[in-house]
Amino acid sequence: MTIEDVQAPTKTRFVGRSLPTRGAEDVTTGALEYLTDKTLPDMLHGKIVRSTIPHGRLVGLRIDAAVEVPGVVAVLTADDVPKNIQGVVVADQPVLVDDHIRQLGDAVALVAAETLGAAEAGAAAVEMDIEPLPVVSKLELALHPSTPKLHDGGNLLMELSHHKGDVDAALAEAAVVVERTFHTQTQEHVCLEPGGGVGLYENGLFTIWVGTQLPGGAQQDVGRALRVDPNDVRIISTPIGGAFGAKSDGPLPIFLALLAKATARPVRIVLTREEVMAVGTKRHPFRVHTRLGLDEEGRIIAVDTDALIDAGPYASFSSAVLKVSAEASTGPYKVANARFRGRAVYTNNGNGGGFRGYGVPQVVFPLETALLEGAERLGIDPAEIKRRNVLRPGDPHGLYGHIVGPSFRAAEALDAIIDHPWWRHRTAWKAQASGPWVRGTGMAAALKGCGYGSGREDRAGARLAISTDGSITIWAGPNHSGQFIETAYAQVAADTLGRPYDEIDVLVGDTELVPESGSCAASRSLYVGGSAVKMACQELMSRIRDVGVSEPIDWQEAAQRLAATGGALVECIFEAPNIADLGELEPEDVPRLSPHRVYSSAVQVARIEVNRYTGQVAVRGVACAVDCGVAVNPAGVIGQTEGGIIQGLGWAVMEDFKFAESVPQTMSLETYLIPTAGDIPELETILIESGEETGPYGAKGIAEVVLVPTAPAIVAAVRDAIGATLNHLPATPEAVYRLMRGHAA
Amino acid sequence: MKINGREVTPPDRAQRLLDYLRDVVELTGAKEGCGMGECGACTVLVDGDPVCACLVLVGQIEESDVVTVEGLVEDGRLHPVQQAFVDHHASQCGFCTPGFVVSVAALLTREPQPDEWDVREALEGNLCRCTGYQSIFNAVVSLVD
Repeated sequence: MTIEDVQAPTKTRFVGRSLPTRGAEDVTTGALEYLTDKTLPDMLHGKIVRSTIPHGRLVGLRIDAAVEVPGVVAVLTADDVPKNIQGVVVADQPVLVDDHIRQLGDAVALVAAETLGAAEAGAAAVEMDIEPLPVVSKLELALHPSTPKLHDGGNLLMELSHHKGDVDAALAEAAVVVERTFHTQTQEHVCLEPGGGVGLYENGLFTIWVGTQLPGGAQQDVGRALRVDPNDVRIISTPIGGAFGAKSDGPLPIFLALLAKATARPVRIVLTREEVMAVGTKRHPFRVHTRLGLDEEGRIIAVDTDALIDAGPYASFSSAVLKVSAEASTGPYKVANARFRGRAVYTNNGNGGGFRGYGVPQVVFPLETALLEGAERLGIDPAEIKRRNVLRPGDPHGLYGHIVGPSFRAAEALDAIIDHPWWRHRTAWKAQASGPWVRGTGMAAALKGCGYGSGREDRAGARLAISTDGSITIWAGPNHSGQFIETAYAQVAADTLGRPYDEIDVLVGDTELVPESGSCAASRSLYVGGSAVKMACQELMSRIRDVGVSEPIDWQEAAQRLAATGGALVECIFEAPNIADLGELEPEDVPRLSPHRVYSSAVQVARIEVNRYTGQVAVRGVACAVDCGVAVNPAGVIGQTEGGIIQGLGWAVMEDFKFAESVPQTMSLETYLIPTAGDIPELETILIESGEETGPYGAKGIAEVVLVPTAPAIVAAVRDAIGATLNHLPATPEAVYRLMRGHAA
Repeated sequence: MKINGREVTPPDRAQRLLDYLRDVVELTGAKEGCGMGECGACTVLVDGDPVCACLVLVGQIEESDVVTVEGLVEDGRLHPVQQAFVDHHASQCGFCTPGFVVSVAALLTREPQPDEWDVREALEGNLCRCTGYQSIFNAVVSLVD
């Protein structure tokens, strides 16, 4: 499919323009009300009583003193939860602990009071007797028979295995085998808004204003825990002050519902930074054992990946993360033989969950680092070896063998980076180092699927109404969590309807108004949500033709005729298509592995300097070529890319959420460091457009893949600078200093 | 104390300025991201200087002139810094934006022709997790001749 095929069919053509984000004025003036800004008349303040140790038995709980604290209105414990269980994928977490404490910060009781101060005093007055248990803190020991079991079924949450071809035979024949073990660390999302919301219970109905990426999941969770019909729970989920996967699950909506019902008053809970740091989900740490086999020409003949991942105390999205890791473990490459084994294990450490990239960064860093070493051993240029192996449309996927679709442009993204001055001039860059600095340049590539994958019924809906005055309102799909998705939905709608962009209202993030559309996650919002918007608009246009209104459309007349025929309200559901062929998969593998039909890709070059005395890595430039299908709003794509690169940079060189015997050590922004304005390199984004036939106007999702190549590109650049390779992240000054000394020795 | 030009008398001298602004005066533009002066989301101007409102008690600044992000709007028109943030896509989730807007406004008042390092230094106290800062730099640069 060429770019011409996906031109919008109208003169207006809003798709492809960098329109300012809708509502940006209210953001800049402070007028936008976030859900944690919300107040209601007669509102109470809620506070959560939390465990003070990471593993133990709750043997005593006394709330009498807390109830007596002036201003306290309600104190709730596990006994007050109708069905004390939660979890979107695997329900393995109590809403409030009644017995087994599995992480520091596990919720034990809830307090509602007239003021926040009274709620805090009430929470402090709850007395807990906890008998400590030995912690499960070491990933490698979690499955050892003598390790305490965190759940009845043991500490193995999930194992996922798959292979294609004969990996062992291929490795035996390979010209070069690179075998290494890699470790990646825990990363915290650090949404600037820690999280929270307001719960209201009125006339048997719940309204919960809570920033969530998965409002339908919150509805189900509340319904189950309170034993009420989920349709009686309305979730208003936007605007959100940052998400990145952190706001896909968690007990907060249930807490708000419980307190609102118990007190018959509105209740607000705003989490502190420390609470989120302790119990919020995080990027899983991985231990990855990689064996990469190359033939003499540098062709990848085998990739063998064994991943052990720290899920922390509860399942969250770990099983889905493991699937996405498996699919990305062969990178954007043709691989003749591949094997993946992944195990997610329970520990008392941070709770692994969804985080932008979703298990892809943790397997791409090992693959790219091993490929670089293999290229060196064969004497092949690191870019050339990528060129020889890169997947092109029509090629079989490295692990699953299904055909990679026509919009995939990893080869073009790779060429754009090979042609970039920072790559072409890498020798000069290195030669011009001065002072304490030595310089290097590195490159890395990645793919990531758009949407939930095949066999998952990946659907989004859009509802469109045309009023009798001709005005259009659309209630659409995955909600806003930082990308102002309404802007892109409106651009798609404007072009499909042939109407000015400003005449179309788009609303998101309310389960009462928006058809169930799944999560704002998985690089899917614009791909599936935008597709549903386009379908609804096409359906309206078709109905307008059917009632005899022709171009140029008199919208008021069209609206009145549609109202007369009962056709003024349109609702459409888009379901993302499954893989077009099974490749080497069996039909039952499809739901088990959720392979994707549509992939986006990104290739990056990083130029860096290393301080030879301190080991500090200063990243000076990162350029990213992003295979985005069609950029509906190019400034939006560039913004997502820049933000993704900097989160990847943070993971690469500084961010490290630490535990000591499962006790979090970095619970504030003083100890957990993320990039600031002072850390930012020169950034460049190159849009590689093609046109995805199943996406709206050719668009596909890119917000995750752009984060993935940054760490391996930086590690490759460090290798170029100092001649040694890190097998673990982050590349802190200490780590790089030790590497330099070890290398010199 | 004046807030956005209006004379006020805070009832509780021991209240954090941030809580006073958000809960009493009902100006919620300043956000709480950490409560310990690390994230800058609650930045306001106190006598023209950018200050984290979570670190100040109202009793410490009883004679001061406080300007919040809401106070930068004049006659319903966006402040040039606010307009530049809109024009340059310098917000994504937007939760940090009010703090950045205030910090940039303070910088440009103090130094109308800042160089790159002035800008980086002025913004190092404001964390943004969405944009990667580049679009924010672009917004600031657009305001410098």
